[in-house]
Amino acid sequence: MISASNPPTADAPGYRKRYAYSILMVAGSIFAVTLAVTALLHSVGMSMKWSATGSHIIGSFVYSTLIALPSMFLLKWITLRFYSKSNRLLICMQISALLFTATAGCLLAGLIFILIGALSPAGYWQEFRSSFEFAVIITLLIGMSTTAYETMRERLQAATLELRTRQVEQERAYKLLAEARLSSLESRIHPHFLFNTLNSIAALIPRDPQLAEDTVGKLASLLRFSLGANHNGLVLLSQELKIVRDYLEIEQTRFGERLRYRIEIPNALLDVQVPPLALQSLVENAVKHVVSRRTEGASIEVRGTKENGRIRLEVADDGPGFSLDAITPEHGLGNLIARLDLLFGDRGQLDVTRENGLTVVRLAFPAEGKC
Amino acid sequence: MEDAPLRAYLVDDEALAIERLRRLLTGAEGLHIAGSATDPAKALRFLNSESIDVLFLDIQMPGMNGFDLLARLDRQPFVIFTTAFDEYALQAFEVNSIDYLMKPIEPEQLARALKKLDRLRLPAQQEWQRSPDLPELLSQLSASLRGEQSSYPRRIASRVGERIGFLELN
Repeated sequence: MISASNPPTADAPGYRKRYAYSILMVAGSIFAVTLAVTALLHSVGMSMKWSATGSHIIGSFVYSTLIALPSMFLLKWITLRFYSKSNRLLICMQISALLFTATAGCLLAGLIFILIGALSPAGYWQEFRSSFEFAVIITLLIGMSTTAYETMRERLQAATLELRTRQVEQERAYKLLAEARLSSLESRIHPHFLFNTLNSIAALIPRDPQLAEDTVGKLASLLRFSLGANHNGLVLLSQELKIVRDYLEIEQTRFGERLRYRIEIPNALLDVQVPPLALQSLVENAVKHVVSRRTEGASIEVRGTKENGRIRLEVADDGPGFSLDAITPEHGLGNLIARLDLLFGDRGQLDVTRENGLTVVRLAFPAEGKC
Repeated sequence: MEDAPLRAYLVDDEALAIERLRRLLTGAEGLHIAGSATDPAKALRFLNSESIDVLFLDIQMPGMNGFDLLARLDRQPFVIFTTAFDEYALQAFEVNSIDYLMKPIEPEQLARALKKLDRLRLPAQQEWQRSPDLPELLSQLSASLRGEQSSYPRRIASRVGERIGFLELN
């Protein structure tokens, strides 16, 4: 008698054990109730012979077992099989099932009594009529109240579970963002990046104080954005692009001609919402793995388009390329993949392709932001 | 300082780093900057054709790291490592480095390194500089930098105050 919002699987381990256990419970409680009712009848002075009492107990037990057990199984089956149907339809089906089991149980009980000689065949219909009404009322009453109880319990459980799942997911999202911030912090305040940038600034001060000053400003804004506590959700692409530009300009100061880049993002796209440090992670990946590893450096292209309600951000480089399979969760891109999944589910994608001799890392997600 | 000035060569893949080091070294007595390179391959060609006394060397570089470069040299000069981050200090002391300078280099640290250099230059060619197994040690080091399987070094450098001694491990 379970109204499940998620149907339990019948092959789950322990399921059969639970089944056997519930049969025993039902049979046991039927027996106990029968015993109690008989004792009650006795105590209020309804005189009965003890032999009659014995047959009364057996009779009630036969009725209850024949009705209650099939009812239980039938209700369970109906609820599992038709759980997706509307509530009203489900209740109608449950009532019909109970009526059916009550009727069949009474008919079967009569037959059994005849078989064991407790009833003459001539008294069969009279026995049926006298027990049927009572059996139907009791069956419906117990059946429907148990079902209602189970349904409520199930709903409560489902609600608790959902609440807990949501909490866990939220915690995971926070954790991933914290990790992204940390990893972006680590790479921008990556000791090599930070100290080399400081060294570049020190070198520039006497020769080009203006450029030195600009670089300090860019470094500061990069550090501030990475430390920023205010981007829990999404940021404007224009904000993200400023960080990408600052980063690329600093790296260009360091690497000189080894880093060549072009940013081609249409103005119409500047107001769209993007996950913070997403495009930045792609650019950084290209600088770290291609520009700084090759004497000839690399050309990086940052592109963006909006099509059919989807935003596509691309970073292309002329490096040897890589496979996403090699990305670990600790990697900057690994974190980005996990964040996209949390923010957009199936509608967020990250893929790596080779196009015209370039490695293209493409980020695609819905334009309306969070779904 | 006495005699002819020491010939120095600077290798760093970032031009600005070389520019700054050059400026810092301008005032140094008895030191002549013979050249510099941002491309380690170019540095290698120069160093194997010209005689150099002291090499200012960055470690993380594209194509060939600092240890790689040393392993390919026919003759080992004195080496002063310059690096942005203290990741390879231990390895750097396993080769014949005089000092390990952190970028941005502080003038006091550079002065300390030059003082050590001055003390070590006599006798001009140390015994270990002619040691035949040094190139092997260097290639082991550069292999370990690339994350390959490396064996134990045969000797370790130990520094007491401003003196460096080498301990044979066999």
